[in-house]
Amino acid sequence: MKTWRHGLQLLVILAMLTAIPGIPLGTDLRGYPLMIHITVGTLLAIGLLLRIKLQNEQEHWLRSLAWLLLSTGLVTLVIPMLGMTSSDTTHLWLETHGWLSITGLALMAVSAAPQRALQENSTS
Amino acid sequence: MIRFLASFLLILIPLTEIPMQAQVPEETSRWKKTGSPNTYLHHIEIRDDRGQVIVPGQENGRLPHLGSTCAPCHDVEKASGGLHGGDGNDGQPGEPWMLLDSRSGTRWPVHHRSWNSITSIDELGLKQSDLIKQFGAHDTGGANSISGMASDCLICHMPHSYNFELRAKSIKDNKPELASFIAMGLSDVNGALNPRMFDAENKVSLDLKGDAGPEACLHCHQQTPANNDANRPTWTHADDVHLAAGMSCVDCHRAGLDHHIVRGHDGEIHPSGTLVETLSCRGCHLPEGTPVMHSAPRPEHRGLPPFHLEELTCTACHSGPMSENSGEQIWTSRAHRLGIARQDRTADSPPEVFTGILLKDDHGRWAPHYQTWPAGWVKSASETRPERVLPPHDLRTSLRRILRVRSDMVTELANTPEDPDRTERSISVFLGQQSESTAFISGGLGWKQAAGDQLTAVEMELAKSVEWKQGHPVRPASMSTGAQGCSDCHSTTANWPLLESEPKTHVDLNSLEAQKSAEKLNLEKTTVFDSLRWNLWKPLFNGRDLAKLILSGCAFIAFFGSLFRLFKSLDRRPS
Repeated sequence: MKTWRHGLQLLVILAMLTAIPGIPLGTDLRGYPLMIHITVGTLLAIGLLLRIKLQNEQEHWLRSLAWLLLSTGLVTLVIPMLGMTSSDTTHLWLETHGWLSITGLALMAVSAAPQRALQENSTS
Repeated sequence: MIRFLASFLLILIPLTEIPMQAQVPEETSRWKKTGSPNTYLHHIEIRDDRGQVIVPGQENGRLPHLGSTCAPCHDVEKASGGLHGGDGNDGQPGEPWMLLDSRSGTRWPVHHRSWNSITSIDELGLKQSDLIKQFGAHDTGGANSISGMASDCLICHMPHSYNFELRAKSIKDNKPELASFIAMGLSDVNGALNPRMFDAENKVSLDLKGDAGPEACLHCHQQTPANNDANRPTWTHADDVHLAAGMSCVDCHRAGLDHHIVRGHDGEIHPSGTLVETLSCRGCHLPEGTPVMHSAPRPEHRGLPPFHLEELTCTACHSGPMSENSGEQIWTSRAHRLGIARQDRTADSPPEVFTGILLKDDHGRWAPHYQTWPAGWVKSASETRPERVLPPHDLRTSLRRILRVRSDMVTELANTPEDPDRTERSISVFLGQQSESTAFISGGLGWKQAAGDQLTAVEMELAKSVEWKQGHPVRPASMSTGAQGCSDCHSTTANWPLLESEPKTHVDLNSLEAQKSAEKLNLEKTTVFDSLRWNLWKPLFNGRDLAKLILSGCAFIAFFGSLFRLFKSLDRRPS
């Protein structure tokens, strides 16, 4: 289970790294970097889906919130991609995607200690 | 207190009106204006160049003069200038005039404005009489226009009863000063006025309009597919979506009396200093702040990654031919003398002008361009002088003497079954009798004499293509590139972004040397797009919809699942 969780976290970090060509703010990812980022994102989405289905361990609410933020980040990416927004507002959706994902990752780090504590409590 | 404030305001109101009244422009002077947008039927006398009224039958050798006829009511001098009259800043390149000289096989883009890669009038050694004959038919005139003829106001402002072809004929017959009077039927070729056009007061009634509608502009700014077969099963209508919606060219390409006509580019600097950004595509349809035209649809471009709007001009997807017709050969009014009845105008009539060629504009954005390829005789660069064009009239005598060319070099030197190398041999022989630096340009390459009366291809700066941006016709959104989805461009079958016009040599050069040298140089050319990257990119769009479906499905389920798990975690929290 631990490997499974680490694999997902690795994908999140990889997604962040592949988003670097989209820095500075206001610049959208494009071309091959976008394609790589979306591929990682798709794997992450599949991973998140499987996590819901397969992962049964107890989770600290902060960790759950982090995963929720990351999932919301994915949804905010998908909405403009499906043509549900005008190109004027697409930048906003993509920026929201970025900020939600970064917050999710930060929260993931913050939740590491409480999550560990929760797991130790549950095993003892 | 209230009384005091009321009296204070009563004093203040007239004071504020004083400067407002002072701001009203004092254009009461000598020029007349009706102030109404409605048509003003001109009921006027015809005058000679001294401004004196001419009565039909009593001309006494005096010729009618358009400037003097209009001058009592209009500032003719001001109206003869402006961007349309050849004044003002050069701006970005527009359509060049095409100098066609069949005797020397020359097809050369020329303009009086300093535009990159377009040859100047002086370099071609053209006199005013040459310019009038070559270009006068499609030039409205003006002191700084290409022909330098006096302005012909009526060609643009007289929507009916103006015979464009008769005007062209009069100019060709060396009667440019009478052309507009002949075109409207007021005068014969000798300047004698037509008495039937005059009333009892010796005045004529002219239906003149400030905006005479698109037809007036299209006399000189028209383009049509060169193979415009009536049975062609595709849409070839020249009309622009704006015209179809009832707009007129001048609604966007506006001008005051100064005739500084707005060109409509992004970032255009107007000679008058007026901000004209709102008259560009983006200014009108994607305005920042308050829209100027509320009825102009604001495109949403749903699903289009926004960087497309940064990398492409609006015209890249919305203007010009449909992508499957991009790169086709067209006729333009000015290059192919449209509007003048001819029997010899064919799909291959020179010059070759191609449409819908995607190139970067001066803002670094991809935009559709017209493209043409020069042809003619040049001197290659030396240490002291750059490459230069040889004026066609300088070559006529030697072409006649050496090659017996009398009227049409291409036809007269054409290969025959008995002599399949005649053209190449003739040009080679001719070059052999000129200085070593002389070369012939055709098909995007320079040609120099090679051994055995052959020609060899060389790279020359002057042989490169000449391009200018394409703005019209604007297609409706439903017919734009991308209306059917990403695969309009991103598919293995769409070649539109990689398109380059393929110049053909206008003379037959068949020798092994000519073909091998040309092939070598053409291979070295790079395309406008990085075709390898583009071709690798295209197949990725094949499974795009499926990938979107997977990503979206997983993302939404993951979102709801995560939400559920968060609630579950919160429930489990020790209270």
